[in-house]
Amino acid sequence: MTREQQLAEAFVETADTLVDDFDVIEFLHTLARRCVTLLEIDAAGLMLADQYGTLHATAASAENARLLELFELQNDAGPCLDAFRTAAPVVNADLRANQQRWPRFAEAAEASGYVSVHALPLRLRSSVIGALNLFCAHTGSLSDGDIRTGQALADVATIGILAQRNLHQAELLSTQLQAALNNRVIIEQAKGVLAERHQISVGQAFSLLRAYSRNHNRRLSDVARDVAVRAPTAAQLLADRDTAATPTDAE
Amino acid sequence: MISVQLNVDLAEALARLRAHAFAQDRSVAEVADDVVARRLRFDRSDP
Repeated sequence: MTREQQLAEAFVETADTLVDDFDVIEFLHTLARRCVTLLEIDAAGLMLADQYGTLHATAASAENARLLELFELQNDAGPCLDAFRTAAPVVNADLRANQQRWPRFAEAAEASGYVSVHALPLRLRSSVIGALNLFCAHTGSLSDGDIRTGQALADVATIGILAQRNLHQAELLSTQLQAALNNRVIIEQAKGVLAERHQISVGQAFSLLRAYSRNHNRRLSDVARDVAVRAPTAAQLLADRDTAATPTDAE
Repeated sequence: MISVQLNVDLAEALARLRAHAFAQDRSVAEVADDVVARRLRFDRSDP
């Protein structure tokens, strides 16, 4: 698929966000993975702010603990916090050169093999609801075109998050964000249950959840909730390894 | 993960995690980190 076709797919998917049964967490994960492919980078993630202005990792291109830690560190100092507070993009930030600016984050990101980072604000008119974080393990900067594409993807993510209900803007922001963050917690709980049940990594557990929700045409967060509370509807996922759906991506 | 190890619901699992952290004088986050990294399990009886 050409870049243009992939971009078209990403924007068409946003139209789906206007449909009732829409699964925002699944959408954000797909978007994060699309960023990685489209922009030829190594990892991406979306952070959303709660009512206290604390950023939370809501979706990432890979579900490994080290990457998620790199998001959490940015609540002290990091590109996402800067982008969120200033509503301005942080681009082509070389980690080594930004040691003073983001001491803990730069060190941890470098230790994970990344060389440069970018953070694009998730904007809705005058509000910023979070940031899209991009990580590169190779040298070389993102072009202006790449940055524009990245910002467009950040903007569609914002539309997707806020598109579901027809509420007054202030209510909309806090309700939607709280729902997205609550869903995140449920998914984390389900990952833990599956990881322990089947003795697999949390990344593999997440792939199992995604594959199951896709195969059964159910929302990711609904499946996760069933797993977390051990509902009978999640029996197949909680059953012995052999009868569970095979993960489609090993992470 | 703790809920599966102890075969309890999530609320109980959280309570057990907190109790362990308190008893060990460690933060909940630290203990949780150990559980996820599989350095600590909750299904063997501790002395």
